[in-house]
Amino acid sequence: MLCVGIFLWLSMVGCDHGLEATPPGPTGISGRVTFIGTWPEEVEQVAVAVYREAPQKLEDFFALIGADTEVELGAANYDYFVPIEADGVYQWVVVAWRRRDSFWDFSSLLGCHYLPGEALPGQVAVRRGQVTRNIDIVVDLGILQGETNPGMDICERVLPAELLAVRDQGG
Amino acid sequence: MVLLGTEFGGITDDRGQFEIEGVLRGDCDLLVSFIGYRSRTLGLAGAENWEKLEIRLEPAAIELPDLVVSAIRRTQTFAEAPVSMAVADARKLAVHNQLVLIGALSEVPGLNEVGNQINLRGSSGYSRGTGSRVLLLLDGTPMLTADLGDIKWDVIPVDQVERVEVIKGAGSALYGTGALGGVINIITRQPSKRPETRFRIVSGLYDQPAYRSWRWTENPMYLAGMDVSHSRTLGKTGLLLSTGLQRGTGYHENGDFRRYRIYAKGVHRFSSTTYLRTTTTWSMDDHGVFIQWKDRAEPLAVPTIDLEAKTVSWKGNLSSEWYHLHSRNLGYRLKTSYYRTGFDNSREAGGLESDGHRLGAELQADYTGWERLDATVGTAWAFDWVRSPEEFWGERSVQNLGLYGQSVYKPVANVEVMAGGRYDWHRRSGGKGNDGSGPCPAFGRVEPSFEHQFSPQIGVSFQPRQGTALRASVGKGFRAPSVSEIYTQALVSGLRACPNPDLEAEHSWSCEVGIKQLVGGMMAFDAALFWNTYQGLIEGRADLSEGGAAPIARFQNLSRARIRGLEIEQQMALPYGLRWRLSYTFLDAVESLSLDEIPPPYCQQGVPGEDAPLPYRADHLLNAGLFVETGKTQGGITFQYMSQFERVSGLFPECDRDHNPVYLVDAFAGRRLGVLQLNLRIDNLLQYHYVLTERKIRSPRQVSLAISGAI
Repeated sequence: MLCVGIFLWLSMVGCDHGLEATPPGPTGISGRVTFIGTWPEEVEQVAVAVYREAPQKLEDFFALIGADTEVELGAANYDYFVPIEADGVYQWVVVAWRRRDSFWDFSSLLGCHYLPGEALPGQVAVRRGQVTRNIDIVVDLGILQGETNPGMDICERVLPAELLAVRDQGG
Repeated sequence: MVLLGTEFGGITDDRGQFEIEGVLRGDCDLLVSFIGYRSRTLGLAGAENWEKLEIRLEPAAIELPDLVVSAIRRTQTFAEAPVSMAVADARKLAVHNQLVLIGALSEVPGLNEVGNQINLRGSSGYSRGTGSRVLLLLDGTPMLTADLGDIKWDVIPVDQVERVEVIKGAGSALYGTGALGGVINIITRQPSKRPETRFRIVSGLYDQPAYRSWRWTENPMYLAGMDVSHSRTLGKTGLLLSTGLQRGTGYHENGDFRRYRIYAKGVHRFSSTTYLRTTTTWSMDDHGVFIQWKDRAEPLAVPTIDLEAKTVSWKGNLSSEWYHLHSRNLGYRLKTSYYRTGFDNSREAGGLESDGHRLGAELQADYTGWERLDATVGTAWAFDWVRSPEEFWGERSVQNLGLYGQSVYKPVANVEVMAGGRYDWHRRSGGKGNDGSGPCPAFGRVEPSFEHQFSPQIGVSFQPRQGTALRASVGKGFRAPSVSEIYTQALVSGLRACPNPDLEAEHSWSCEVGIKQLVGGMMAFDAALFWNTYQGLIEGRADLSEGGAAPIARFQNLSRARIRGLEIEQQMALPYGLRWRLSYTFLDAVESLSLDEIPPPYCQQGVPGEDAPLPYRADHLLNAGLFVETGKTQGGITFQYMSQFERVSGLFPECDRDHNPVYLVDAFAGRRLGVLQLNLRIDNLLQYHYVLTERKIRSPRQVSLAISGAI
């Protein structure tokens, strides 16, 4: 009886491989990041990050919902996918960079998703089990050489002035 | 066989003949045990009539440990131990076909491994390889590293392990800092009288994962290891030399490893009452680094940026023990040890490096001259010195001095009361601060600090009748933070860890009651209720209190935590050479979140001011096994269940999305062929994929064959 019981039990659990091949879904945001200009040598890593809302205080900056950290360095464009757990509206989809031997910080912003002609970053709706596509972002790498970029103004327009002041002070 | 309460004993040869040296004449108890037989304790009154003994043992249906040395630092029978203990002997360990010992301990009740860290009844959780709450002893010598305060399992000569004793619960009253959650004492073989060469070859293959999309290579994924040892006695000196080599691809990308190890032991007997034992071990481990997976859809691949991440680590230990039986009732023991460890990470693995040194010395005296009272007193000193780049840990040192004493009182023959305590002085050196130019916020020069701690313990064991043993104990424990927990500042794969110079020692009270019951020689049962409370428990947490920076992880003292639970173990002999073993541990592990708790960036972790589960603790642990042994053939199938963690670190946005309960089935079959022992094993037979620590998947199915022998 014991052997029969063990056999039946093994048969039942033997089909369960634990973690599934991919999480239920996929759910997330995808699109293309286009890089304009020359890649500086000191860039160690570039990522696409998704926020539910634009940060209102410093710690919010790190409360990202999801990220794609596999952006190919030196490429003219990169097709990203950011997996997201919950459906909803995500108000800030940005590209950030990290300097060699340094860490992501508040000055990491390179660009964000916004629609042509709009004055604010684009909002992206995501439904569970679906991928919201064509959320494209243009990044002008000239910003890393100190050039100004109107696109960055749009990205930062939703950030409170106090936060930008902290950033400008090197916080 | 062992003379209880002394250091002296012996092992029989193939014909059952034995000789015990170093025995002073007088009354004593001789414990005789052999695998598969019921042990006997012989009261040997007087000296004249036992120079030649003939002892007969009866076969035992179930195997129970006989004697232990770790619970009170002296030899006593298993039933007399006032604390919960588990013992695994070489034969039980060998069937696991493991290259490193930690993998062979999975069946110890109440023990589970999380991210290569040992948890005894949920003591450690997961602290990313730093600050073990379980003290590892190698033949009684502490083996926690000076820098990380963790256990380096590859330094243990797995082919030379004779027995592993596990004490569950705070052991600081005898062993000081580090033993907050328990003690694991690894006892290695003694040099043999006759020339003996042993070898062990293990080779295995990892299966491909259950899903084709997870494959990171089409090549075979393998592991292989070989250990060879030789032992003999020359005059009054016994010698043992063992060497090992291990290689493998690992089961995931960047999982390749090469390990080398040398281990030597010498025992010189100056006289029948005095010996000097010297042990040295050296090992090197060169392996790829898997910090986190590339993606949930490719969990066996590493991110492109980590592809070249490597680390080389080395460990060397030299220890000696001098023992002298001054008179029949008084013995001294002097131990010294030096343990050096270091590692060097490639730039892709953070570029970190460290060189840690630990010096230790200990003097212990045992007195058994009183009629009902035995006493042990001792002092232990340890000095840790760590050198690493300023931007990592800097140069730091820690010193600890402990005085301990313990007495065992036997008011009547079947009751033993153990009482003792240890006073520790702990000094932490100061050192340079951090100018903030690295990944972490600045902090000023660190001043030296000093703390002291008294850790009392009392325990009772009572054997009301043959086959029944009751036990109860209560004790205080403490653990000073390791250098790495205080000073680490590192940036690895996008994760940032920062120092906390204000980190203090953690303290605990641990109590338990338990019962062992033998039923008709066919069934053994053990149950324990335990309750541990912690003040200032050290856990790694996201720290958002520092504005103007990215989220950082640092070790912090929790205000209050509690782990209580129940543990039961049952063994039963069945017909046809079958044996059944079952153990179950229930844990209720919570912490009180302080009112000013700042929620971590990603995951809801509980309500400030209320209780929340302690991270990386499973509520339910279950081990079951069915074994068979007939003649030269043995086999078994085991099942392990661990419930899903209620809470993890909160440092990753997916929180506990990828965590699942653990269901593992392993099977083995072995046969003796002349001098050879063959053991075939399948781990994770049902190919169950699971995660214990974020973004690191555990091993898929693995088939291995071990061939060992002695000539």
